[in-house]
Amino acid sequence: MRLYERLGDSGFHTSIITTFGIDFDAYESIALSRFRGAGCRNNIVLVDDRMLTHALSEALTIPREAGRQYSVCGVQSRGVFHPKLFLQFGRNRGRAIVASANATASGLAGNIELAGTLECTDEPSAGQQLIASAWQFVSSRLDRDRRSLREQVAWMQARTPWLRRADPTNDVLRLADGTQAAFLATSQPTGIFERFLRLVGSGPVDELIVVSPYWDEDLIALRELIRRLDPKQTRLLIDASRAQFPGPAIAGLQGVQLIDLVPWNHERFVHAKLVVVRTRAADHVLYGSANCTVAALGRFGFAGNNDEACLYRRLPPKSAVEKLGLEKLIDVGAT
Amino acid sequence: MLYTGRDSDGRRIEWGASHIAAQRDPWWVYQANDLTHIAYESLLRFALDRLERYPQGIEARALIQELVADLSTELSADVGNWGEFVAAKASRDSYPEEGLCWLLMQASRPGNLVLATDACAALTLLAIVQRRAESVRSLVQRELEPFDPSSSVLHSLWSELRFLEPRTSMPIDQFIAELFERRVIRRHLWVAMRKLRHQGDYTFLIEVDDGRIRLCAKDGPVFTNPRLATSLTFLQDIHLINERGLTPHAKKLLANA
Repeated sequence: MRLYERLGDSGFHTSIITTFGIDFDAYESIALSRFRGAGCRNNIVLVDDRMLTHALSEALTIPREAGRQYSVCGVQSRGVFHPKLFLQFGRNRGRAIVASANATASGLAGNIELAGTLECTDEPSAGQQLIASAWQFVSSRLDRDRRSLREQVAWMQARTPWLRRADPTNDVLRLADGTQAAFLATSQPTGIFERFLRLVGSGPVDELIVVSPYWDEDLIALRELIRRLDPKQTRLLIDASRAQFPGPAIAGLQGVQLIDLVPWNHERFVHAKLVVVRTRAADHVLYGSANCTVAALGRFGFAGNNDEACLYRRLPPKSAVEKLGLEKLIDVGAT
Repeated sequence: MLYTGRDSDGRRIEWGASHIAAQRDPWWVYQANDLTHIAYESLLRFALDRLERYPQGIEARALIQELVADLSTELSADVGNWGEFVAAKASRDSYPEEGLCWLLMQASRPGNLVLATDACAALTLLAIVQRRAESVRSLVQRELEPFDPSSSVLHSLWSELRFLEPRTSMPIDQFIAELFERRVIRRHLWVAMRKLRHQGDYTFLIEVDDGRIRLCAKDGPVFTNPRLATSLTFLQDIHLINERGLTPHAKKLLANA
């Protein structure tokens, strides 16, 4: 599925996208055109402040419709503003796509990305609470001093009564399909790493699977994961030619299998970020914007530097690998 | 032959009837337009081959600086600006276009790399076509301007004349950098974005992400005009010609025409 194909659905009056980098031509041509074509006229993009400056000064495409058909706003962060959320609000429905994809052509259509979709109606539901959590996170990053942005948000809230009533939560909720989910963003004193491990619990771990295009130079976040989880087996799926994986740093890590994704796919950049922890009781899945780095995930006692947004899913045991199509990748790339 | 106006021995062709000459004019524009396209696609391929060295991507500005630096070492030191380059390369009497195209097509074959010397050949081709087009400016304008009077959407020999002519006195390094940024890389991204938006086809050869550009795939250059060999094959396929010339079927059709 191409991410942008979901953006043209009707029933929404407002879209809010958060992204690290932006390609204005891609946003305007691919996303905005679909939003507006479906009657969504209140559109906002939040971009990492430094990347926005870069996009406006040095990038190859410049905005043509910003300020007229949508607002674009830079967000400062202690590290980088890195969440990739696609929020869509309507009077009777809501949607949050928690993704690894930036608002660029490659993010929207070219790369291999991973995204999870939460949907809700105006009736109270777990999905509604999680979408409200995502909005609460985004709302906390909005520059309320900007009058136009303030007015756009007020306009959205006036037309989204269910969002005003919804109860955002950091807890794990049971979704309509019976699986469990939680919205994990860097809006809490504890980081994503620590909260994820608490959700995994203390039982024995059969396998740890990590997909990430970017890593710490010394693989600290990965080492911490392995140290805390003590998995029987660890598989790292990497794009050996394009991803920045520090091969030598893996020395000393026992039971770690490196799987190169290039034989399976040599043209598309694997930009997805994923952690799967397989236990006897459940498959614990974390995906979204966070790379396997300390800056993104944090570690025990440190919440991380970046702004990130991820989705936690608790799935039946041995189901995540198949649901995510990883069996094929692991078979192809196994060395 | 229609482009050069000469036969294979270099003799000038007399067109005779004015309606034949009138038919040749738009054909010339078509061919010159395609040569411009080949020059630009070869420059894009030069950029793609260089980009391949950076699997994790590079800032667009840094890539262009590299391309310019490479090309500058190939250019004669006494070429100070684009106008001087055009004057040095363009000749009204000889027709090196065919040889330059052959060189560029060879350089871009699978397994080959388009090097700075090849990119210089692409610039030479562009300079030659510019000079020829300037000598028949009103013809080029008449044939191509109606497709896009503002030259903002459709790039053609006419739009490129309008880009190149005001830059005659621009320092050659600055000119090449602008050419790569505005007419080669940015143009590729623009066209690919339109294809994605309107057709759903992902044809990007260069991807932009995280503030960097990255190679996605390599392609081109390719001629867009109908080639003689493919035209003959087509006529064979529909049984109008064979190894002895016109088929009886074709003769019958001609007689009834």
